[in-house]
Amino acid sequence: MSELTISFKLNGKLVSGRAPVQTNLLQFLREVMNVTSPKFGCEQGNCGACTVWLDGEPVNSCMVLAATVDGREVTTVEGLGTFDKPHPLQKAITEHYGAQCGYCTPGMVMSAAALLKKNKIPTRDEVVNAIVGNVCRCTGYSKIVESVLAAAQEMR
Amino acid sequence: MKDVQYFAPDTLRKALQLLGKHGTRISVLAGGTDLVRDMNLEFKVPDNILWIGRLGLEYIKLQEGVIHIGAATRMQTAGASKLLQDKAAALAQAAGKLAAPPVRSLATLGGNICTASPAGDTVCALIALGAEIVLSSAQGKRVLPLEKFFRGPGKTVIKAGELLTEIRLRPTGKGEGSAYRKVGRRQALTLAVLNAAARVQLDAKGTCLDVRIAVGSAAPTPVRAVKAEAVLRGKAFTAEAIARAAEMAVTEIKPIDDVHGTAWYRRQLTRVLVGRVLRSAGGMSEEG
Repeated sequence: MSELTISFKLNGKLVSGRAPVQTNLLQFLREVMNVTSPKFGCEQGNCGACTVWLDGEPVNSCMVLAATVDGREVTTVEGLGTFDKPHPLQKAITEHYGAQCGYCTPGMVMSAAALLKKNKIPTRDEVVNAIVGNVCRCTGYSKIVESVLAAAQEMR
Repeated sequence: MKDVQYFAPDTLRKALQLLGKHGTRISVLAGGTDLVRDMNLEFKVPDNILWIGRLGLEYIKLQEGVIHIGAATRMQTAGASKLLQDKAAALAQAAGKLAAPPVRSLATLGGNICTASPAGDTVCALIALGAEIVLSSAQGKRVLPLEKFFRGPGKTVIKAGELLTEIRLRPTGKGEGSAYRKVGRRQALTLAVLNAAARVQLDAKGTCLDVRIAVGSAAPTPVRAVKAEAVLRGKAFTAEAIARAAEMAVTEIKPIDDVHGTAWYRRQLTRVLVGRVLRSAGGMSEEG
């Protein structure tokens, strides 16, 4: 069995682990790195529950071969903020009831936070277009969009 | 679990050597949105994987009147490119709306082409733009028009040992425009039930000097609607002529009934979308 050593920056810290070649980044984060915020949904890029940042851009971690992350940078919600110092979007999600069952929330937050990095004054449409790749089966989209708009307001 | 070998060369020369050595037993990995998904679902687990993300194949540049695009250019990069928005609008529109943002920061133009889906968003746009592709191997390279690349769903004329390295197209100039439109089951993250693209060149009097029309999801490969083009070429680019061309395009497709839509609906969409892309590419109001 060919295993590879994969080293990269995870939430600002250099990490390293071993996994078989066919391991995707979602499996690697959850099973090797024990970072469980990215969720397993469809494993085919249709649900967005596994969204993380790769070199600062949102990607479906299930469709990234873990080996290709060697030497790069990955960010999950754990890297956005902490319990004591949450990212404004993490705070807004709790204040505006942006999470129901919570399964889509980490991916939703990574997609929306990527928008807020580039666009400080997003319109409602721009927020919707940033999270079209993230499915919420509780269908709580209105509250999620409100949370993102509130976070943008807060960050100004 | 299968024993898979992984290669991530940092030069094109090394990549082509590996491709030549392993022939049909090596799969090229670009963005991974098709290959890694297929591996996850156990549709296909290759013996060897060649990742092309370190070859410097992500670029978009205008050189001696030709736009050169690296095959590993991602959708997000293509959609945000000012050069493509201005000089190859159909491609920027197709890439900029494909799937959803987390897919667009992975998926590449070369991958969209080599997957050879009849519904490929950027493929339809590139055929209308008249794109050529460069296939490189350890022995050299060949250049062919994109529309000659496809043999059927998932099937192309690429040979073992070859790598799609570059896409080339002529920028639109004065009196020229292009457009892409798609209808899916949803607004985002959806396969095209039908897509269409056009490139139109008009003179100052509104005569159509040249036109190219492509339709996707309507046959085993993306289709170039050459008879519809002939209806317009050299004629006044009027609403009536566009309507005749759109009707003609319907005779050039071979749609099927499937889970995404019926053949009947695809014929209706061909008429509507070909009309829209022609009007938009020709600088007219899209709805006519």
